[in-house]
Amino acid sequence: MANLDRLMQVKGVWAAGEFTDDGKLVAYKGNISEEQAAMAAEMCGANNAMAKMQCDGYTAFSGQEWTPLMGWALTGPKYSVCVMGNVGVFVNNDEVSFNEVFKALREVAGK
Amino acid sequence: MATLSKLKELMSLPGAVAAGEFSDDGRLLAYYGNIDEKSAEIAAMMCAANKLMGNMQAKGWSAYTGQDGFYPVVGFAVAGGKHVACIMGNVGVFLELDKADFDKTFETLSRYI
Repeated sequence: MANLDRLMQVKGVWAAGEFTDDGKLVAYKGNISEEQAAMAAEMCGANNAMAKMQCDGYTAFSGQEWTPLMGWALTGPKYSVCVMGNVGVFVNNDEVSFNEVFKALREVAGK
Repeated sequence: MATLSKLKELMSLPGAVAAGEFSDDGRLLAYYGNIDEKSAEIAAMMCAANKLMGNMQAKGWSAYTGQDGFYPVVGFAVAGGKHVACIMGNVGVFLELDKADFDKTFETLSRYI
């Protein structure tokens, strides 16, 4: 199981979770209900599949090396979702260093 | 529209290989860097589609949780292989992953929103 405690220690991270390839919630920590964490896991699984398809397709189309998929992020006005492999975090944009978040995610996800 | 000078500024970011601007309906408006036009056009279409999908998810998530702060989508990133794409608003930059400075990249991109 992924080391979610390591992710929760990163400044600005307020929730962390792990999910399966088919979008099932494996584990989570932080200020979020289990029902919401399960929904987030489902979205993350779907986005991983979409991003993998795009990375594989774009590699074939462009000849540039965009595969395998490593991760993705989505940013709103206050919060962001950052995912590497099958682990992800919710962060406060104003507090976080995205360099630190992605470094920690790569460590925990083994990417 | 982002001027070529702005795209050139993005090209000065660590690891940058290409930069471009797209419309909400996925048309390529301008680009700069080491990428052919067909690949840039496909990238523009993917960026617009991802932005729309991200907004759909963020709006749904906000309604579901009652929590503001995820919508509207400000930007997104996708990393794979040796590269990462970072997009804010309708402007984006492709970077070499191992050279990318995400904080600097997002700070620069945020000036173009």
